[in-house]
Amino acid sequence: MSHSPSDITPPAASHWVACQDCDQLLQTAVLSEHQRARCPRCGARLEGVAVKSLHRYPGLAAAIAGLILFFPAISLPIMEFELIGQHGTNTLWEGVWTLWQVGFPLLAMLVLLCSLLAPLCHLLLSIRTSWQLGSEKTLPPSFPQQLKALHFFQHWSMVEVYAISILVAYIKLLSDGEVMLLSGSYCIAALLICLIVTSQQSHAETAWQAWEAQQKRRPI
Amino acid sequence: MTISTAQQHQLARCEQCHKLSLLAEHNCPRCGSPLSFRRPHSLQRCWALCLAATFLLFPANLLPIMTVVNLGSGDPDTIMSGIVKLWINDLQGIAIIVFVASILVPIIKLLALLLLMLVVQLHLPLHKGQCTLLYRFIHFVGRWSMLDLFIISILVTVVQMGNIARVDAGPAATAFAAVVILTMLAASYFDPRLIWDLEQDEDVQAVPEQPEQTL
Repeated sequence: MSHSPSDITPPAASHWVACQDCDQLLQTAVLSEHQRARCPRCGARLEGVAVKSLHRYPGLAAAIAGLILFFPAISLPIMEFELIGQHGTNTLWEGVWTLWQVGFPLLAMLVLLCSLLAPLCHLLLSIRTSWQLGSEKTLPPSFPQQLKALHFFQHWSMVEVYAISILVAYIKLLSDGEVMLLSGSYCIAALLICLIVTSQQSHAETAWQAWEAQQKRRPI
Repeated sequence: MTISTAQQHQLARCEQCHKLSLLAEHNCPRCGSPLSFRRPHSLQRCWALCLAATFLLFPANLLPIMTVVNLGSGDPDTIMSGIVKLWINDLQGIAIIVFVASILVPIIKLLALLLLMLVVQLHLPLHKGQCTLLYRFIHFVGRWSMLDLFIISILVTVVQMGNIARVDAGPAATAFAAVVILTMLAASYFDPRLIWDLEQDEDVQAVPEQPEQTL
């Protein structure tokens, strides 16, 4: 990586990136998988730097595993609370539905988005993107929208916060009665690992460059 | 080090796909999103969202957020009284987690955004690297305020045993959710590049006027 000389004429933009936090113009090389590019001016981890990915499949495998885990994670009971012979359990989906029923529709929709919809869409779109990039077929015209949606859902997926919430609720209930963590909580933990691997293995810039290369070959 | 920003070369960074293109192109040639040097109306939007979030902090903290009924008795709890009860019940660790996620984080986020906006608007001479660090911190920490809302969603569902034990959500929950969303949006509208633009203003006395973007 080098700084741009100040006397330069406007550079060919494709080999340059601007830091997202301070707008410093920087020339970048293609990174290998474990390299990180940092802005020398403000220290930001640069977005939009191409990464030479050797393995396409770990990300795809993690996303498919996550999708398989997703349905047990939302439908199996997360914890059981027992007090004087009475039982209560919850699932991720019931958490949304109960909030809706007791008169908190906005809250229900927010929890629905962050704990259910966003992770599901993130996984589905990741699988679709990896699949399309791996196959020889041309990318569909909706590919840019798909990448933007992928980024949006990745941002609003908050399974990691939900996992910590389960722990806090569990410890809170310990003082009030018998409480057990059930299979749903293990599925959520496994789903969380799959989501983290999926995010780490996905390189948006690589996907964008594939789209750009196709556009250049066949102008629409 | 030579400071040369993309804007000085008339290059705009696409917010969506991060590609650099000449601003004259108006739309990103790669993904079609509208181009601009800085996030449009960054400060106005950030101010509006921060003000709205500040107003909503009052109902969020003063109204009851949860009622825990145990063996027929139970009072509505605000966020703070719930934390005090946790502390009294020897759950100090949890009390600290909930206090940080539900009280400290929203207030720190609002104060930090306020400080950053004042730095940009009043040209306050603060260290730019540290301001950027602060920005990255509030951007990162925002989602963790959802913790309390998820806990409510879990408890309301698990503890549903009529008069023996029951957890009900309170009106503060919706207000708190709004604070979380508004502060997250405010953080994403604020453009940290505005902080660094001050450096050029200080270096180069005469600032070239940037034409207003019309799209």
